[in-house]
Amino acid sequence: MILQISQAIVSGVLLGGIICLVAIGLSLIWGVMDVVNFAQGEFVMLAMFVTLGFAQFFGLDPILSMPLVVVVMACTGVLTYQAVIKPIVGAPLLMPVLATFGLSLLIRYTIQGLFSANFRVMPQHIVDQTAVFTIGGLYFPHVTTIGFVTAILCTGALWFFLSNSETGRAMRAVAQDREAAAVVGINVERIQRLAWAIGIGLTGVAGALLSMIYQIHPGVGPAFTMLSFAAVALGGFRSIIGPAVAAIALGVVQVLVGTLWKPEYQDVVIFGFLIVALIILAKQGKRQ
Amino acid sequence: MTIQKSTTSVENVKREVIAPEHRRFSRTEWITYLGLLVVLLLFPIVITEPFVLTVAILTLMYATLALGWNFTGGLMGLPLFCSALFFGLGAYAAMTADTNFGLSPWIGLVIGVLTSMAVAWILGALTLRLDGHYFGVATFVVGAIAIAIFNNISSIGGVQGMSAPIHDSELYYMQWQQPRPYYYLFLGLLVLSVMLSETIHRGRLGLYLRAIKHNALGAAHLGVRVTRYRIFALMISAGVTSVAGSLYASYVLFIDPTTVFAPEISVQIVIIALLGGLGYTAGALIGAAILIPLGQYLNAALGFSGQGWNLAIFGLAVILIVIFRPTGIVGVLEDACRLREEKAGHPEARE
Repeated sequence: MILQISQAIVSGVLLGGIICLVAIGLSLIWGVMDVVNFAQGEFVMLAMFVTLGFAQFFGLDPILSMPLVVVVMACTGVLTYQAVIKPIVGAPLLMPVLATFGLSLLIRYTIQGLFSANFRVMPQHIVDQTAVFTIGGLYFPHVTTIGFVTAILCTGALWFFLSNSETGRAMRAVAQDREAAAVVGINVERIQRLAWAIGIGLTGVAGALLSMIYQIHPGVGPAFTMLSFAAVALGGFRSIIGPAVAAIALGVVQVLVGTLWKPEYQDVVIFGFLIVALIILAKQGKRQ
Repeated sequence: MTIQKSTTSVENVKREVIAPEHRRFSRTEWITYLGLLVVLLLFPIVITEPFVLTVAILTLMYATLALGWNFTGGLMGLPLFCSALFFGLGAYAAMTADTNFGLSPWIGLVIGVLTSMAVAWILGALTLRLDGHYFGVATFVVGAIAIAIFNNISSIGGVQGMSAPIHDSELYYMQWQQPRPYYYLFLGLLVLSVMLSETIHRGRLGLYLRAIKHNALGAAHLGVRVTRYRIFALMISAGVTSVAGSLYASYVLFIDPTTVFAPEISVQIVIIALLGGLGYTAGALIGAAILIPLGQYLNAALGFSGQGWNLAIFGLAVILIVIFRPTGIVGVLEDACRLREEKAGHPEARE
């Protein structure tokens, strides 16, 4: 039993590390733009399909094609910003929410219309799907371990970028106060475009990694959207470390619920955590 | 430069908060509504084809649902993504009352409304104090997990769903052999919803809600109880949606979690309200009258829904409306009228 639980914790941490990339992307865009991206999970799904496309048409391994996928997704993010978000900057809250919600429908059902709702599996890749190494009786699958390490490296790099580089500081300034940032000469629009490029680019990393772990189908998105919502609500937006830690914790909870209780209740428990986060926020008096 | 434009100017407030809806019915409006009612009353007598009648019933139902959504989405400007949850609660309440307890679905309807309102109250109390994004996030998630929860309650059928026992045609059991009585049932509900909507829009509550939508902080400073009225509006949304769900359950006689909690229902409601015009009573009616017949026709003629292309088109439509015409069809018509009045030098426009 103890072994089973510790195994679930290990798997949860490894998986949560990958989810944390999605959550950080959401948090970055939320903080910089004051826009909650309801299509975040659909971008992950799109990235999984792009990775699959590279593997099937060019025989590229997901590990090798990851930089390409990131570039593709970052471009998609910039395109989204230019085409959908920029025209409605300053509109009431409902408008960007509906726009990204519409975007999630558009992405999901276009992919489903083009490639059908079937489940697909990544063809054989360099990292053996079944290979594991064991430490003290606990299994560490190669795939998820590589994913976890990559995710942690990306998170660290982003944190370093935000806290040390000139552009990163500008980005934090925009997140704090858009108008004041503009007054001191920061090109707000460029920063916002960059936030979309990074935020959606991160889903590229996550998508390439997850395509080796999960089956690929058009309906995987909402689960990731919900997980990253909960992570950001728990960890706080405008921050990197908070959502990252929360995402890993949620990964653990999810795997524990899945193995010890019912897999169908994974999302329900995530909702429970979201409620807890909301109660805490309401108690803190974060009124608008 | 993307400094957020401040939308709060005296002119805007006067136009959007106080005028033009906060006034009595004009004669044109009375004639339009009564004329529409007469047409709708005569419709099933003139046209008896079952398919057309089914489409008409669905149109009436979705018009009601969009009106319900409008209290939260249109009047308050908050993203409500879990209409299907309230719809499904209403459907299950009516069905359970009949199947499990042998009670009239009407009693179930009342219980469904109370349950939905209670859920709405909890959701609202948790999220409506916070930034509006949290409300959108919470309703999105709760809407997505409802199916999982109801799939696992075996006493009301679980995944298999439940079907109602067949009774004789009777108002008490809300069951008839022909579709026509159902048509009038849904029409009655729509008339009540329109009356409720117009009363709220033109009354004090509508004024408060528009003021909150426009500038919550400002409204709070003027003494409007922001959170209280927001929760109140959300509960009205939930109640109306739940009643429609109860009637739907009696109409189809079989429900399961995947059909009544379907995210597609919430999506359709949002796009109907958005297409017609956010915050307009007429918008919900126009949106439903266009979208539901069109969608049903495309499904029947082309087998359109199989691959989900219809939802992809909905998504694209939402994006395009939000970017280019956020006020929807009614907004476009209103702009056209205003332009014409200005050209004609109408006294109202010069004011």
